[in-house]
Amino acid sequence: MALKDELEKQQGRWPAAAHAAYEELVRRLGAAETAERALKLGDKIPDFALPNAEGKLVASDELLARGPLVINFFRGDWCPFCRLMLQALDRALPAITAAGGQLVALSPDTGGRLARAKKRLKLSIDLLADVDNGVALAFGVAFRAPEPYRKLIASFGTNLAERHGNDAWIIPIPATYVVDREGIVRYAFVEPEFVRRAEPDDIVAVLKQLS
Amino acid sequence: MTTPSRGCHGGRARERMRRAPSEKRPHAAMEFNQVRYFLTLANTLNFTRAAESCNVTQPALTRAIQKLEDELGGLLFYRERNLTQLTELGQLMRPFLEQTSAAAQAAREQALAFKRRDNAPLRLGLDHSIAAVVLRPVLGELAARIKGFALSMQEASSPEIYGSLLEGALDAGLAVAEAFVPERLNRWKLYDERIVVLCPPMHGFAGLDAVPIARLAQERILRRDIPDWAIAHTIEPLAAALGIQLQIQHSGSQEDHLHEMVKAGLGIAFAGEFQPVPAGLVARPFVEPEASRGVMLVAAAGRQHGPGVAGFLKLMRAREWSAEATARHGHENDNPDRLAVRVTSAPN
Repeated sequence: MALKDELEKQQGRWPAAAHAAYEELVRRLGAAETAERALKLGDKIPDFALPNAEGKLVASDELLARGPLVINFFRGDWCPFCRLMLQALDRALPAITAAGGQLVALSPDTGGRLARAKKRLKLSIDLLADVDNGVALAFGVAFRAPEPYRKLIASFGTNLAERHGNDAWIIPIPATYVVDREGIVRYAFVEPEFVRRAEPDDIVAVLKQLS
Repeated sequence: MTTPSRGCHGGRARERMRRAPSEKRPHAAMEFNQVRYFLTLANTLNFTRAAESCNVTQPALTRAIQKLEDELGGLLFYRERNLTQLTELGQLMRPFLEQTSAAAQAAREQALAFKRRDNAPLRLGLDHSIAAVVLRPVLGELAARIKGFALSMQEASSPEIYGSLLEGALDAGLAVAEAFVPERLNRWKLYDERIVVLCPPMHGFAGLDAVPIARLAQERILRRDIPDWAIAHTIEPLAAALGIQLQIQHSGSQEDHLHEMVKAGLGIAFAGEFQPVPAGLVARPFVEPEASRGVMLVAAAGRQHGPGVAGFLKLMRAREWSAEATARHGHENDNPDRLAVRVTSAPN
């Protein structure tokens, strides 16, 4: 099943209240403007270094020295769509590697949650803790969840303040970038409709073009 | 987690207009520059000076602020004729935006620090009763990655650590005593640590899995002679609740002095469960009730940290601090017999 189908199936399971809050969120984010504000094709990415789930500091420029880099921003494993995306990326990892690429997935979750997510979802991909959403901000994909959406997330039993170690309720717009060795963006999928995610096949295709 | 400092509330409703959704299309997300301009304006409370400071034109700054207000769904500043002030939303968002903006800069500087030899200091304070061993993996990673990493560690009481952080004499601390943390400090709870009793192997306690607090009544307690001894803050109320008067006959300021006293039969001592147990002694946790305290990471809020400090805080906040994980931190190479006994696994 393509990722798109899995995601639509998950969305079909939503109760009505979830749909309403989601609509409000998307309206607020103004889907049409999204790509304008975030980093886009041709932009140079800022350097960054973050801890990974194994407690090591991972630096973007060190990765880029080895080959193109896929950078995925996700909210956390509390989000079923993020889980589906992560698993799809994990399945695509051999193809990504074969095409000469590397992959990192960034989330604001702290306190060992990324390590636990990796174990639970049986992932091999490198998860980086974007503590306080600094890199998401630098990429232009950080936003503060509006009130109805905060309520919705809380109703799932998800406490973002505890997960993030701050009360800001800032999360990333789900986004996937492919960056060449010079740090230039060659593919950008930035989508506030968080049920929609980049297809791994598209990512691999871009990587093949870069090699 | 941080609590944003709230200024005066009160009836400022008059300027609190919201733009109708149809008037301005909201922007998707925050931009780093918008946040930077907001923070500068929040400090200067003057559009002209803020624009100069940010090296942009005033209209550009004004537009950026408006876009941020659209994104956040409300006004951040009241603009009156000669007066610019933060709204409630502005005051609420300020610490959050400071934090995120600092994180963005820190992530960039971190990457640079790996390549350069610039001095990257970290002045760290640990409460007297906290085991430095829990830091081993984090300190190891910082030393391995940041060439200019320069660590200085100090032992102090938790209140002294808070004071030093506020003064800028320390960059970060590990502390106990949640109740007294000043508001201007960020704090993140890392783990709960039980208090254990240290005794010689032939002592009656060594035959128990855990020691009921009530049994302390018959023991000679060795007191650690330091100001604000955190362990006493945990144990004394529990003993008092059971009507027990702790008999304190000997004291010492250094832990290894106390260990020798225990070995010499002068009495029993207390320790945190993650502190390595000296060879020749036995450690047992308390029950009826269990004695434990929270250990927190603390740092000054609103300060721009260098790569040594920022790297430390990120590594500490990102890692797993469940009891099992914390007990393992740095203990991979240590003699497992020397670890404090854990009777049951604490739930996550």
